[in-house]
Amino acid sequence: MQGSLVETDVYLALDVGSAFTRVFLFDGVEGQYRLIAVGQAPTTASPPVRDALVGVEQAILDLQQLSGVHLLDEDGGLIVPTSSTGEGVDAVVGTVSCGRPLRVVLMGVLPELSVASARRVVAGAYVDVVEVFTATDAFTPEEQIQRLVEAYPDIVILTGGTDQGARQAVASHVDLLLWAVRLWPLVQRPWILFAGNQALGEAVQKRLGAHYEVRLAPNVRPSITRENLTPAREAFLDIFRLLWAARTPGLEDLHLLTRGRFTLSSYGFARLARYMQRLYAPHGTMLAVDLGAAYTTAIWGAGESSRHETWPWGLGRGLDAWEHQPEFLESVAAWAPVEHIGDKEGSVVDFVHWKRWYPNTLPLDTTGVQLEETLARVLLQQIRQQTVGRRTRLDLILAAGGVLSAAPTPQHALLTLLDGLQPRGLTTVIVDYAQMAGVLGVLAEINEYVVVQVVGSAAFTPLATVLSPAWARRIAADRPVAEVTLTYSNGEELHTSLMPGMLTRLPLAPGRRAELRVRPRRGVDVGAGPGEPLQQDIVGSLLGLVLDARGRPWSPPATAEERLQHHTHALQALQLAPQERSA
Amino acid sequence: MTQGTQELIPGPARPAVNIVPLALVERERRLPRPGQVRVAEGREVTFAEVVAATPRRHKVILLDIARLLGVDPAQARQALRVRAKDRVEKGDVLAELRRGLTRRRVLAPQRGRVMGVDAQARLLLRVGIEWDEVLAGLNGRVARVLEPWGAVIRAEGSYIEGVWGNGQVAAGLLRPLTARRTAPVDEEDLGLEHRGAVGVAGYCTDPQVLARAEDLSFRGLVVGGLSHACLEQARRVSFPVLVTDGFGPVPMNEEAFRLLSSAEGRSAVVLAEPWDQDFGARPCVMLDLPHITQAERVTPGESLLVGQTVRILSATQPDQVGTLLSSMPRWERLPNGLKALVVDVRLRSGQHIVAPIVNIEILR
Repeated sequence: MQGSLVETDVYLALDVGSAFTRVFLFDGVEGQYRLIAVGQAPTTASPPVRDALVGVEQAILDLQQLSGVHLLDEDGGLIVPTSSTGEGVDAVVGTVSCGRPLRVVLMGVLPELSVASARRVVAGAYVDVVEVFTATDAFTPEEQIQRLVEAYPDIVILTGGTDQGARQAVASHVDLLLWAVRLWPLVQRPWILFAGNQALGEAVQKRLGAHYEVRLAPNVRPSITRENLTPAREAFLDIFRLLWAARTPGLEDLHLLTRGRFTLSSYGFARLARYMQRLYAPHGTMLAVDLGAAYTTAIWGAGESSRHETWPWGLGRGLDAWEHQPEFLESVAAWAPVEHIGDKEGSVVDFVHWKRWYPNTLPLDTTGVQLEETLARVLLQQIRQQTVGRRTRLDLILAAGGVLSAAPTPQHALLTLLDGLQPRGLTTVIVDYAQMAGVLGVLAEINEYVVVQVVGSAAFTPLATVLSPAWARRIAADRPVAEVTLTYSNGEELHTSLMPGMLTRLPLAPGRRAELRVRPRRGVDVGAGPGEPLQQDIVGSLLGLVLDARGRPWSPPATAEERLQHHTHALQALQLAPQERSA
Repeated sequence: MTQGTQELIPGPARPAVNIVPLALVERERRLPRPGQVRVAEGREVTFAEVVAATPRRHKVILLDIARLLGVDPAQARQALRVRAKDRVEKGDVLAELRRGLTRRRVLAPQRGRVMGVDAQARLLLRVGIEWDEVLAGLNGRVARVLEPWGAVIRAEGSYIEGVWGNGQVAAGLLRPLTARRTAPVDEEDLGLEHRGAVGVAGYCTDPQVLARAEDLSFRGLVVGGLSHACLEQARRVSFPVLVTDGFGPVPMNEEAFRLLSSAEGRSAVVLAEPWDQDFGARPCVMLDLPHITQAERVTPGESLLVGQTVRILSATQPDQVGTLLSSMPRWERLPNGLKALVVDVRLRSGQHIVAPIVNIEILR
């Protein structure tokens, strides 16, 4: 660790998203690092400005205006390090997610070994894996050449062979790349990252180096049983950054501004998510989701085996993947609490296209908010299916993305998450309100104290602890699915009979603790197995203990009118009582 | 702070949608990947001319000369009668080997081009190539060449930008199909007199309209709004479909409708390529004008100025155009609970509203 609390360095963290740019100022307050202020501006990497740095400057101005802190000198330059009068910052870090995905081709010997490792090298980055070549492919040489050439990759990850192992498959992939040279003009040739049999590294460099930019990295599979991803991932990230900086005006300047402490938002988010998992669910299953405009990142699983993926899905450009899929559009219509936009001619599906082309715009009315949240619900369902599946118990949900972080109320955010992810069992739900998870992940590299202390502050107060019983057999409406008792640390007790379909909450303010006891009906699973009681200490949160007995899977009512009614009632059920608000 | 006589609103430039009667347009025409530029600076071009092209597909044949001749690769290489980049016709000799009285030959199976031979004496013959082409898109002149991507085309005329296009480009004579910008176009609105026309209508929610337009060999359709029900059909038709304002029953903005409907019978190029948000090129309609003396240069965006005409972007509240009032943006909570950086706008109806800056598009 390079930094420490004693030094109380001041940090500025930048996040250049595809829709918005945010800047975060972290400083020590009474011996603890805290988020001091956040500035925001639209991202300016695209026209009319076409310079990402302008959006950063604007966000810093916004931060200055909101906080009164002085960060820029008279010429508009960032003051680094902090002056004797306390102006400026000591270090800058950044994350970015505002470029187009890079096209990647993977080459390896076996799909389940080297190619699987190559996939893990690029997992979580903003890439589109356009072709995969293995030694088991049943294509003719001509077809192989055509597949490769027409994939027009930006990067080829060439793997295969354990060290001192297979050579032939790697050699034939090198041949393939040499044939492609005959068809690709110089300007179209991809970068090659070789991370296969180390005995072949020199030969690969010699054969391909005259035609391509080649980077060598240690073997991702030095032996059948061993995987070594980190060096290849770092080499890949270097190439990625170079290509993105070349294509996204202003990123090169941000690289300079941060002195290279600049990475992909998804990587930063993943790092923070894993930290949160250790904190809140060290032995449980987590699903962390960052739902952006162009990309969605998810980290899921238990303990050290959690996985990380990024898809080109989102609530803006990321709708490209979905706006032609009838099932997706049908789901949007089936979940929307309105049937039409405006008069009867306007379809709610029109909103999908609108959001695709105007991702930065905000809803101007309640219907707009409801439609945006509907899109989020449907996308979250897809993410749940792609990651943990529908039946897995979730111990922790960490959620980020404007539609949740900047929702009109915390109740809106929670309802969107419950409907979309449909957790089972007892789940801690945390929303990254300040949308700083990604930059905190990067800050951890230079000062872990910042992360530990900011995560422990009010900025990351859990939104709720949710109990979601699941049952297979129908339960009569007048029979409780579970008896729930919450015993507060002062001995006070709250008891409720949880009826099927019920959505309610029991107060448990942040900072307080209580013991939860749940006695489920036979066949009802509250997280400990069907019919098994649950007893657990839980910590306070913004909305306390939320009891969601709507059943799993839960489907929305059939008509838009009923859905709107349900939505309204659900939001009311999650409201804080007046005395809680004042507290 | 002021710019000219108008007070400047702090912040980065906002996107502008250009609807300009006398416009000077400089439009980048770029390939998806680097390729060959086929026009020179200063050359006059028509909208359908190819300005640059890049291969999309290659059809190749890999011939193992050594195996075909029954010799080792070194001998096979010596037997070659062609070199890389040679063009060959079907039946041309690629390799030839004499052994005493016998002669073995490898003939070109198809017309093509030799792309190379490797150490194993395998010969790569390219026998087909398909191109991605970028057209000039407008009638004008090549202002600059963007090697190896394409070119900038400079054109003058009346210019209307939109939000969505189906990827087609064509030209024809303008024919209004609806009398009002707020009216939907029906199948019955399209008659034989519209054959080969570029139709202009308030909005379209009926896919049958597109089918009928296809039957009438339309050269283009420009609408304010297009509903989801029509999008698939719009992607399939052979003529350009351009949407000026949004999705659903969204009326065409007043400026665009006035300009287009008053130009009945004039020739228009409809460049309905999808909005490229990385480079700012929107789908557009360009009307040829005989002579322009004072053309206004169009821009993808500019700083916000008090008094500027803007449209408020909203899926649920379309067709809101007004004038910017405030000079200092401020954070405010909207009635729907969202917090936003807002400015004041007086709508044409006279109503005063606050609008998030991110929802504002300058109407030029």
